[in-house]
Amino acid sequence: MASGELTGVGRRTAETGTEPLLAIEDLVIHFRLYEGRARVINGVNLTIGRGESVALVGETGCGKSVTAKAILGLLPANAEIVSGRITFQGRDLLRLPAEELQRIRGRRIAMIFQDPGTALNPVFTVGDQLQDVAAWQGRPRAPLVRRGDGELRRRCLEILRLVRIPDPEGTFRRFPVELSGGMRQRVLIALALLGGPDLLIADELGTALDVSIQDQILEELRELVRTRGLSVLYITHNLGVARLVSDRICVMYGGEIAEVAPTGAMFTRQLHPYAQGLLAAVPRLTGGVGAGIEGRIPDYLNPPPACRFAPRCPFRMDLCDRQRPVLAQAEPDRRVACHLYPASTR
Amino acid sequence: MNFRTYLLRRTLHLVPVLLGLSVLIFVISRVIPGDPVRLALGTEATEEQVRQLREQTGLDRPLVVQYVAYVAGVLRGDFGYSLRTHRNVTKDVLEFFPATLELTTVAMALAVVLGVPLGILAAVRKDRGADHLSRVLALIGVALPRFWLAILLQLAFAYHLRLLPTIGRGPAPPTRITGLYVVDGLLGFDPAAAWISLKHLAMPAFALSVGTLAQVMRLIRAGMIEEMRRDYALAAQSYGLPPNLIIYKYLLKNAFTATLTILGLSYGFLLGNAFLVETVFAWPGLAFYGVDALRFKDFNGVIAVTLVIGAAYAVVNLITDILYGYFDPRIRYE
Amino acid sequence: MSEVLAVPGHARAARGQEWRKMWFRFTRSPLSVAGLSIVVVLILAAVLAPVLAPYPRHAGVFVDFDRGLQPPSARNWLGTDDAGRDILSRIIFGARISLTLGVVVLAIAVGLGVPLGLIAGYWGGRVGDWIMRITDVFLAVPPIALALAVTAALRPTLTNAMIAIAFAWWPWYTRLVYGQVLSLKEQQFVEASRSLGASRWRIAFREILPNAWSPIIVKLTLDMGFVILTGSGLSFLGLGAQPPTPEWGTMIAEGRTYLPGVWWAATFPGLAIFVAVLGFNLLGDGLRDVFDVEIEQWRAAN
Repeated sequence: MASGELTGVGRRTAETGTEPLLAIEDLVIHFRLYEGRARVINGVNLTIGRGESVALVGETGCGKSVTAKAILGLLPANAEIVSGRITFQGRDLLRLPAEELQRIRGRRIAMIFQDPGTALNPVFTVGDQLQDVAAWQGRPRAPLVRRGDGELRRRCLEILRLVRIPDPEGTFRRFPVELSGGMRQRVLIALALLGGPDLLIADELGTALDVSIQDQILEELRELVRTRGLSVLYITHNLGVARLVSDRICVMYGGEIAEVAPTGAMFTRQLHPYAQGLLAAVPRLTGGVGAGIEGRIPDYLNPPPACRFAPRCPFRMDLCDRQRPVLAQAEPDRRVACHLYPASTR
Repeated sequence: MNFRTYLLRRTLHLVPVLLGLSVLIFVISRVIPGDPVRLALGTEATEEQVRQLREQTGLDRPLVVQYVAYVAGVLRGDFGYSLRTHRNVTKDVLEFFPATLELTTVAMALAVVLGVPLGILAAVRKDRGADHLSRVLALIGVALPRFWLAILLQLAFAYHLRLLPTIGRGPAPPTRITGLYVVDGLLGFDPAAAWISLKHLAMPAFALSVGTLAQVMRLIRAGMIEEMRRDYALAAQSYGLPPNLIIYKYLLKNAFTATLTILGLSYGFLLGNAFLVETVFAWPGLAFYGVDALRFKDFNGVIAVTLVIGAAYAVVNLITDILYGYFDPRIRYE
Repeated sequence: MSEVLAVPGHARAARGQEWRKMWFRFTRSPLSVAGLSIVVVLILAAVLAPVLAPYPRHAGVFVDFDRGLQPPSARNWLGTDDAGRDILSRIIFGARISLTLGVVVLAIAVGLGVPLGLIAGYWGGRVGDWIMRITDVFLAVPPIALALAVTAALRPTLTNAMIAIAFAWWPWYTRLVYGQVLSLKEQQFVEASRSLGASRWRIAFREILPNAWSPIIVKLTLDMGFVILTGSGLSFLGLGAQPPTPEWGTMIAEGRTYLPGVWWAATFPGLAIFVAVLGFNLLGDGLRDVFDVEIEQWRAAN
């Protein structure tokens, strides 16, 4: 595993060198709804390199969570993966049989869920849940009763210490309802790290928590990630978080990637009009539309025919309604999907 | 609030409820057109006999006095005198109650033991063959009149196939400890006696359980489906946990806990239907006794049966509440 | 979004076009449509009994012992009972009795239980507490047991059975409405209504009740089935409708004495009960499915 260098401005990205750890290519996902077919993900391209932290940024409803869940095969039954590939360590995750996918979950790729209040099973103790994961992760079957195992317990307590839980033994015995929000979040991180994954997916980490606790946990996670050389995909609508934790930012809109750039560069200057609106207006994007952008997210049942941002775009041209802009390299280290940049018009 | 405090409050809550119930039933039973004493003695009774019996049973005193005396009696364990059986009702209750207890408990156990796996199956194979079949079965089960089903079962298994006894509970096993024949048979190491009792128990228990079985099946199915949608279920999957562990440990415990309260309520309907099923099978239980008391207008009997049933229902609900608190820690800490 | 619902009555105006949507959704489920069909057939049977029944006179006092206990034949499709009466005709008239039973019982139960629940929920206070305590007392015993206990005080007739069952049934509606009111009381539109000066009565009946009615409708439909079941159970035990009334439960009790040889007298009335309860259950389930979507959409909008 490549050792991580300091994250921040100017880090070499996966584009310039080694093969990426995870590569999403032209992912298209539709949802079969009562009202019709919602074309939510419309050709997403995303790569994550070894030891790299990537932030997937966008407003609520842009499809970031769907993308994340697609990686691990956690989409609901009415989701249909129309086309595309998700390549991880040489294999296409979308075409793996169920048992293979189960072996990857937790052990190679792990997800840290958004709401610590609901992501933990309320009727089992923390220790029980940790030990279950440690013991049976990736196996096809498990007996319902676990034999007492000192080694297992030790491992789990280790992980709890790793995520800076002050009283590991006590927490082990407790139920989630007895813990504070911050503690629960750390337990979630512990659960994700138990299998020793190469890639972490953090879905809106800490949004359900107090701001100060969120910052603290993000810092600690960043440190953990750095020492272990993990890759991370941060899903967030909060640009402040993205700036803090990521090497590279992908801006997502309406089920497509609008722009990709290294974090520092993205904050200095944006190419895509949507990204400009996001970052220019306010430093933090709240749950709805950014202060400077008119309109709403597209209706996935009846999306715009070409560029999905066109209806809201101040630089809209005729071409934008006729031909879909392709995510292409407009500058070294930056890719954008917008007809303002000739590379996107193919 | 501490869980223990919660339990204590719930238990204490029983007292005014049962008290209120006793007032209600007492008032109903005493405010009637018709004279239970005359009914008991028949039309040839002389005025003197009527007056004597009335005085004897205390029916000539004011209503409130009667009620207080009655409650005092109940607290001593005395349910009064039955004009029908000519015995103390307490003796009757003690004699007949175990049969009903055995019947309803086995029916409930059947409903859970059969209903839970079927419900899980329906949930896991949602919208496929097994699910549709279970839905049809559940709909039938809930709509079936239990006394009609009892009669049909009798026709099929007792009359035509001669596999099971038509009516009754069968002979009491040699050892009499609990009053529950099957249990007694086993405790007395007499499997033959236990088997006979079981054969007598089969049809009544099944007829009684059908509606509850259907309900349990649907509840578990709905519960499992709801739990499957929750974040923790998705998280468990994301850690790579095996599907059978997720279903049978993680989801089931939550789904079952959620249905516990309704199971308690369901037991009430089971008790209510016991009146009908016991009548069809001449099962010598408290409900059977109650129906006779009702027809005869033996009010002490009626009141006693109602109170005992109310108390049993309340105890079962208390037990389900306790179990709920035991399984779901959120109750204890909020 | 919330501004729209803060105007009283606006929510109801938008409902008009939702009826059609609900109907379409309802008809998508074959089971629900089956339930509706069964209920319609029952109602028709009840209303048109004298016309539909092949031997309408057999529903009342009638004897023809020569034709007693005949098995099903071309003449009597479902056979005859011990008094020679045509079972099919009696079952058709029995629909009349069962439906009347259901309607009367539930009318009383709703008429008593719903207002009490509203009062207890909305006004609260000591009155509310006492109402709920009394409700708890009534609910301490299973409804069949309570109804049976009441029959002890009355002469066994169909009317008295209705009274007894209504006596046991009303508290369920009080509890249902109480719960609904409590959860709706805090909603925005009630506060807006109050801020506009509407009286508490107005709020209770005009704002809260219309939004609480869907669970009540569902429960009413399902209860029709269960009340019929309870009523026939009481009659079966001899504590409800008496012979020669063609109540389905009574008919089973009468026919039972001739088992096992004469099986039709006890079997067909039971089948009628089963179909009736099934119909109401299917209909109630269908309604609940349709309303659930409504409720979810309403919740999502708020």
